[in-house]
Amino acid sequence: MSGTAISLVFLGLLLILLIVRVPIAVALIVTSLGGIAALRGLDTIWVVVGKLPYDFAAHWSLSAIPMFLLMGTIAFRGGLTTSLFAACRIWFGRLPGGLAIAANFASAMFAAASGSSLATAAAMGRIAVPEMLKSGYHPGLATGTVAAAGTIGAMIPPSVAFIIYGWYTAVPIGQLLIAGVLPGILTAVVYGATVVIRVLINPELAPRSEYRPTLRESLSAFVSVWPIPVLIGAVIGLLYSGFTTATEAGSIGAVAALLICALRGTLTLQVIRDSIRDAVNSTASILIIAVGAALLSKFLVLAGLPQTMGRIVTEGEVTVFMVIGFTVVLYLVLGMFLDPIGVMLVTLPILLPVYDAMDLNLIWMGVVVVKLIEIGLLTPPVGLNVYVVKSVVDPNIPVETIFKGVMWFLAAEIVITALLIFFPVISLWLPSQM
Amino acid sequence: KELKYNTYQPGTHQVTKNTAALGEALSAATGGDLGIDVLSGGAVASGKATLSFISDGLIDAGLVTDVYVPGDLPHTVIASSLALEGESSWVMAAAMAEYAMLECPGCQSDLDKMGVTNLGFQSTSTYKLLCNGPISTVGDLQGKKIKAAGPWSRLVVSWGAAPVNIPFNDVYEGMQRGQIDCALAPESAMEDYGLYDVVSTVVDLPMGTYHGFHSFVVNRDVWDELPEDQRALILDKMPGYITQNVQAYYDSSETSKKKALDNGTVYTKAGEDLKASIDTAKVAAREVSLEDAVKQGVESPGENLDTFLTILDKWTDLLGTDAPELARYEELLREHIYGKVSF
Amino acid sequence: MNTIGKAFASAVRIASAIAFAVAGACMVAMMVHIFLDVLLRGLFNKPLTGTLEIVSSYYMVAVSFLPLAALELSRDMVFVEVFTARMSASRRRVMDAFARLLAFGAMGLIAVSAAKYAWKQTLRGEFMDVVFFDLLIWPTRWIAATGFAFAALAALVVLVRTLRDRLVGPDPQDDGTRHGAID
Ligand code: NA
Ligand code: NA
Repeated sequence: MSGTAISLVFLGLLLILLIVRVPIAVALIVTSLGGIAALRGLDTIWVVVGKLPYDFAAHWSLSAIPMFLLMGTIAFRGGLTTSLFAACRIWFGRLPGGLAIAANFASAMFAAASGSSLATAAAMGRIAVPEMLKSGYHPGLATGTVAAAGTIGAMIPPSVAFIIYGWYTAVPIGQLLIAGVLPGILTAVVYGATVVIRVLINPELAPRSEYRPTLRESLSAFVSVWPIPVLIGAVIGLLYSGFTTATEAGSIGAVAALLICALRGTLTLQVIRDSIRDAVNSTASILIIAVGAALLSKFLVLAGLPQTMGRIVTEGEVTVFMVIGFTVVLYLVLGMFLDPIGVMLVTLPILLPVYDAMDLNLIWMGVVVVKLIEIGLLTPPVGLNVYVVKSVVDPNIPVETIFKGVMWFLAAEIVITALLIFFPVISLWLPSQM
Repeated sequence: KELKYNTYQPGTHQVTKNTAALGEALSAATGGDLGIDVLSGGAVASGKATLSFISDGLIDAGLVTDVYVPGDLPHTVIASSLALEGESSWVMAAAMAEYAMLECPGCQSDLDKMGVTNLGFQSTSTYKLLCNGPISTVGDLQGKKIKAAGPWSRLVVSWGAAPVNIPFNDVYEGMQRGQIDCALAPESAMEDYGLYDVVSTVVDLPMGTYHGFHSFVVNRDVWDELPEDQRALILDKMPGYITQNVQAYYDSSETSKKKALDNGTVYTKAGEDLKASIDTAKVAAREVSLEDAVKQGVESPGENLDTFLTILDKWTDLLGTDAPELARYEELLREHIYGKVSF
Repeated sequence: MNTIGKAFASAVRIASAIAFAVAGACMVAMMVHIFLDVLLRGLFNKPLTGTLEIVSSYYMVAVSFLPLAALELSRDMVFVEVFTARMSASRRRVMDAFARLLAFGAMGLIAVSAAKYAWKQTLRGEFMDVVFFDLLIWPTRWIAATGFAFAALAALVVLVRTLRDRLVGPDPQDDGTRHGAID
């Protein structure tokens, strides 16, 4: 049996396992190991299986995830976020879906501080979703907004995805990061509009606040919410000043959250215990799925599936739009199953020579590629951002509800991606000013 | 048979392209019976994991960086950790090959224990100090933070500077924002990681090479199962492949230097104290190399060190430090190394 | 037989709770360690050597793998419910039993293979040279192996519980394990 056939068989098996309620991490691990065994033999799988998860997890770059998660759980358990959403209700309450809009822009702000979409979704999932649910928002809207808005994390700098793309393609990383700023803001604005449109169509999704705040209340709300802007401001400041890396900013953020809670008298032993427990739970849930996704990527590369798909393109007579169209389809399909960095590592060896041959601007293509892998974080069956949100919110919300809530934002992504493809200037204007 | 060859270097790297070209040449010569599927960017195995995954049979072959796995390859690391000895990538690649493939039984038994074999060596071009401010003396380096790996860390410490171990992907941001002041790297890093805008000064003093790249490590069983004529074919292509790889590093650094100069980067002369510090560190590095080897269980590493230094002198005499003519280099590899090895 | 089973289940529960607590401690240690590194670097230009290596090899491995058993016991692992939500409870229980069996197999395989490798690295005393000292790496191999071994045993406990529920209905004494594995 050819490698391609083997990979299709095991992808089919993966789908079946997911359908019959096998935990996603277990399904990914079982099918990848089965696939690798089919390709390379049982003896091989027996020795490598003990090393692969360790090699994946033992990385500095991933350590930003637990640190930002911890910052988020402390802020949430310590009550710092409760007042933020009380304030948001005052400021945005009259807009349709005001809290979701607030969560969306808060995610964009948080994204500006975090290099990772997963960390953004995890922290904002903890902070924003419970408050929206408490205010009677539909769970799909509440969780979908946060899952989608988390993807802004990889567009607005700092961004692990851009750094890896830049490293791979030898495009100056600074220009790439700057190129992501406008597309990131564009995404946040279109997402905000999506929330408004959804809620205008179906007002029951997000009950409007009856409450009409006085000017004095609006102003005093600032006083009660100072910890969150300070926290986010501190993290952003640390990153932009260049004083720390993302992981370091996360750990300082966690310490700062602890100090602020202590200052406000909300820091009890129970709060500390609960924050740590929640952060550990989420970290392990995220990383074990990521381990599975990384294994699957390795299996598919060994099977040669991405290489075969690339060959199909390069052998035909192709135009620029065929290349971009192929890029879109390829990432949408692979993004259904694989982790974003994995998808990028798997496909760039095929795509880059094609882009070079077509003389496409690699910064522009970088923005498009990062946008596409971020969409993959939202698409079923393996939508890591959705799983992240799932792992940090009320366990009674099924994962399908979140996927359904995300669908509206995927529709918005069609618009955003089209704009990025047809108007390269959105990506290229800022770097050209450097 | 299509050999699954893993490299952590990206697909755009000239060495990766050379490997793909080698695969095409093999395929052409065997009517498609033998080929190479190049898995680049560490898609299957990271730099650290490559050797153990070849050994386990997850992949058939790959590029192995020996300083990542000093416990597995202690005998070659004795030579490759002498980073500061390197003044020419051409000399280093040839000297490593002659040392490890002909004159170092320990190197061979290290590979045997892992169930692999290695068909050649390549070396980076010389490392230089790439800085975001004017630097030329040891005094300028006091208290600076410098990205440096492995054997170079101690050199950095000897300047009174702090070695910072960050991934290369972070160097651009690190230099831009002052987390680090310099990076010790080949000039080609400016091209590979887009550092032209942040590197304002290059100290024009060679500070060694990394020459422990095992270019083509193959799983022993896979190798033994290849028909004899195919093995002979691969070995025949190897000197040319190595020559192209060393040339790739050389070209890349030359191109980078040209671009950097066009971009306004200043090449400064190194102060005498800086030159002297290299010589001091070179001697100290030999001691460290011996101590590390003992820690990794090598009983009498002194012999290995002497052997390597002798071979190094021989190749320096043969080639000098300038780039040789490619055909002649390939011929020398055949004459002194590939004509004598047996796999 | 039943008593042995119960003793085994509570042993696994205690072990997973301890592993979870260690992971929590590692997360806090990671925060403090990184914070100190930044502080010392910023104030005195004296970074803590080896922070990157210790965070990567120790804290990250502990935080990633030690909590797996607790996740398994509290059934906190994410799965897709949409296709089976309308099925009868007993049919879902069969599928859940199958899922636990797979989890037991996969985690067990990883645990045994990881332990074999850990043993090999222990014998050779695997370490990492971080310039000023040698950081032992082999203990972290055992951390990973332990995490997966506990996860496999936890899957077994849940499997037995799921099957027994099907035969004799839920055991009231098992209440609280769903969310209580880590308290
Ligand atoms: Na970001
Ligand atoms: Na997806």
